[in-house]
Amino acid sequence: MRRLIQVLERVRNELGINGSELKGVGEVGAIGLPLAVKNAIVDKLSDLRASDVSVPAPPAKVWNAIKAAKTAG
Amino acid sequence: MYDFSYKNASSVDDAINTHKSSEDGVFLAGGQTLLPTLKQRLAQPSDLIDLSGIGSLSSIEVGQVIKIGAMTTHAEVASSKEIQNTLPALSDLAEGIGDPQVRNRGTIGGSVANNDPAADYPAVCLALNANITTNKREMIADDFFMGMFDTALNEGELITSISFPIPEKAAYMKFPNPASRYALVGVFVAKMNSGVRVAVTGAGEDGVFRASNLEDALNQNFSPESLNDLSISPDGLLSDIHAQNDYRASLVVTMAKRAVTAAS
Repeated sequence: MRRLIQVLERVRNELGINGSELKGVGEVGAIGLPLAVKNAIVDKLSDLRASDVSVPAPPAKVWNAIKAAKTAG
Repeated sequence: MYDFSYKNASSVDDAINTHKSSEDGVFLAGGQTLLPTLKQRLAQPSDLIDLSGIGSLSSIEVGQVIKIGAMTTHAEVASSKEIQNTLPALSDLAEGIGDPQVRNRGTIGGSVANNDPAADYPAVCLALNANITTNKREMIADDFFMGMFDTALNEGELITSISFPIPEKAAYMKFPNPASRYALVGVFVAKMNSGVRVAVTGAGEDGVFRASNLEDALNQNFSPESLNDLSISPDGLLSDIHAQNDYRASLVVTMAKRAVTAAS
């Protein structure tokens, strides 16, 4: 992720913003982002010792993971 | 889409008479539910009776009550300075409906007549016990919403306006489906002279309903803390791919607390 952010920053800072304020990042490998989101959710739930939450993780799935962890104590 | 004939009504009477003389006519308000239904061939009306040319149905009057004409769009309710000043919970609710297209085409009368179990307007109508006026009579919201997509409206009866009493305090909070912006759960809390009313949309199998145990607690003490130990039974609540009934039950209390906080 750090590498991804570095590249994105470089694209933004060194290459400037074009008229549409858009930059393609396909080459960077945007697949890192969903993983980062997933890890953030699991990290947030770690105190509860919640089980792994797979993505996509809509609110109901996260709520169920919390409920299951609390039930398991 | 199946064939139908299009009729442009010039007045309420014209719309009613056109409906009477049609084989299986339906009124077209904003069309944000009806037109997709027709496109998918889920309905086959003989006539579409367009109400958009009836100027008298589009109005907002703010006095002792807030009276809104049936063909007033969500965007008009959301942007009305008078409503924002007297009952911001209502303009906020309208601002949160659907997307810009829905808000600019969809109407309050169409939403209330359709009584979608996840629509926002039924919640404010029931919480404030709004007065729903048709071409024939007046009804209070308590007597109007009969169940999912079901109302006390008779065949060929047309809503002309809806009047909302102005509460002491009120707020609406919803947990929207991120794709449709329909309410997974929406809770309208109103503190009236006669007591607190809490109306829940998006959750009930029979459409909008009042949460009486939350009302009792808020009548004792109008604060979010008074809801801390309360829960709603998941029985009779909707389960679908977006949320199962026990999650919705939990959301009802959470949204009610947020609404009370916002109203206080």
